[in-house]
Amino acid sequence: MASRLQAAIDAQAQRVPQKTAFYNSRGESITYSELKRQSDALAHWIAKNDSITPKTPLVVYGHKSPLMLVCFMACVKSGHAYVPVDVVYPRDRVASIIGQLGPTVVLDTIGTIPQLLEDALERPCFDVTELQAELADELCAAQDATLEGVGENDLFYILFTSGSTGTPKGVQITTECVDNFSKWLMDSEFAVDEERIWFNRSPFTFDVSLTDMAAGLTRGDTLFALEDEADKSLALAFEALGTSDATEWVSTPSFVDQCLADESFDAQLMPNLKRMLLAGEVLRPETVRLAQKRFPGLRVFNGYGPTESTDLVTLCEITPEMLSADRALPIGYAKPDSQLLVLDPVSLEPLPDGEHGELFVVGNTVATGYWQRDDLTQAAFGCCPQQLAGQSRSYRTGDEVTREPDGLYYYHGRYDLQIKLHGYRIELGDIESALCALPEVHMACVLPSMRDGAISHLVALLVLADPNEKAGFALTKRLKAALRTTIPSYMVPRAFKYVDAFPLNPSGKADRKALAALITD
Amino acid sequence: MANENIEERIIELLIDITGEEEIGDYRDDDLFEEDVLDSLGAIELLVRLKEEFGIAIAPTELEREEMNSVNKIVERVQERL
Repeated sequence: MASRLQAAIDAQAQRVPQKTAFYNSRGESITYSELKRQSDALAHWIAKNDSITPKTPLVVYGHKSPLMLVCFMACVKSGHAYVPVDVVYPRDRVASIIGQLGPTVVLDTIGTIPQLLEDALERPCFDVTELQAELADELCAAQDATLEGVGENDLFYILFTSGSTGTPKGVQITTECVDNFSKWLMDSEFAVDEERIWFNRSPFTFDVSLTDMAAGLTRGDTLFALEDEADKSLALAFEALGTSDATEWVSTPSFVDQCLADESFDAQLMPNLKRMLLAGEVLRPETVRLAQKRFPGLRVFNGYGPTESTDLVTLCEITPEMLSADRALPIGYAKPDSQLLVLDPVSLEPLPDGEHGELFVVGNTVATGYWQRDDLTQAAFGCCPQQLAGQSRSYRTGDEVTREPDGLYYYHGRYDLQIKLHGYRIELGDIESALCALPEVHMACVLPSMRDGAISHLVALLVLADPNEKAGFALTKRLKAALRTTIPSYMVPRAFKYVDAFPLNPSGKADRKALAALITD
Repeated sequence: MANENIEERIIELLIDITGEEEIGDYRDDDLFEEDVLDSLGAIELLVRLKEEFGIAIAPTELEREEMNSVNKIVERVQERL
């Protein structure tokens, strides 16, 4: 039985063949019939290719081109999970992901794997942009052949996220997870019967990118995205958004904040914008107020969900009452098929409404674990004593939440060192490991710098290996350059501070509270 | 306003935003390439320039290349005063 998500998207090729399924700021686009034709052809090509081991996850490299969708669909149609790898990833991170996957191959959608990646890519790499002629032949030959796609319990995709020890970990999402998530959105208030164009800012390496695929592509909507260069220039982004006719908006709150900082971000620029779905970090009331001032009548939704439970698990519309209440905004109501438990983080006993506890997600969108990391899987997915019999999977989020009697959940922070910056999920330990791997560094501690209750940037505090080394911007520049070869640029702390020694806590570890006091003036 | 004074105030501002005390010694460095500023940092800078000097620069008005170093930021501010 094929994936319901994939079948629903393919069905649009019959219903609305000439309609645009996806287009981007470069003007690249694809119709529903082309999406089906090209992904079918590529799926047959993959199935016949001797260098591709059946059922292995395949890397899809690129950013936001129509070919990314073609590759995703081709992978699942030929029985392979897809693993998106974004162009912003540095060589070492790509190498780590490919190394963990083992006998994979890379489907390159941008035509030129940058030089810096070449030595990281020891696996075969196929330039999908060059395959068109071959694929046309493939389709003629394949008219009668049938393919075996991914099954219900097979992996649909793997998303690699920041790991606390410096190695990215792959979250395994099955076909069942994706279909259950899609079903929720297809049945929810997002299943309105009108012409919709979705703008989604999230790269495909980020779980929220599934939102408009699940809610939009399954209904024959059009998706719009920013390619790399427009992602980096707000002027280009505005130009593209202004001509996009987008009616739906999906992004992090901080991207909306960036746009709102420019007064031309209003209903004149995007006259059709009706709904905004924000997720990935704390949503401040001020962001909603300003957005609704600039876009009269705009409906704003807040959502929350860990990558380990596919995508969102809570959602709600932000009402005027919520905005005027003297507290943080809620993250939403629980998705009907998910059980969201608030437990005491030590005893794992359930807590009554209103009390702070750790959120555990139980239900049919929880991942099957981390790729080839049984140790991490056991710790995060196997420790919920409160889940009901028959529900096989649970995930311990590490998030501190409360549930109110009206069913709304509120987010209060993390129990560990994971943070969200610009929507990116980052383990501070990941950055600290990368810093400590540099020969100049003896000890490293990375701390968030707060402004107005939200994280504004990261600060690295360092003890140098050689006490006589001259600390200063010249050294900082050198260390940052070295860091950029091992971790993505968005993880490189903005400020570096040098200290002679770290204050230690009674257990002999760096005292993060005392260090935090050093960076707040 | 004396030019030197403007420069000093901008450098103070940048030290405050970036936490990098020696920023004034590297006035032609690309602040984005060196990961001293990112997109949110750049917006913070525009907001602070408005507070400090009363000049409004919209985030879409300038490309990164036009204000990616201390010297270029000083130039952009002086043009608008």
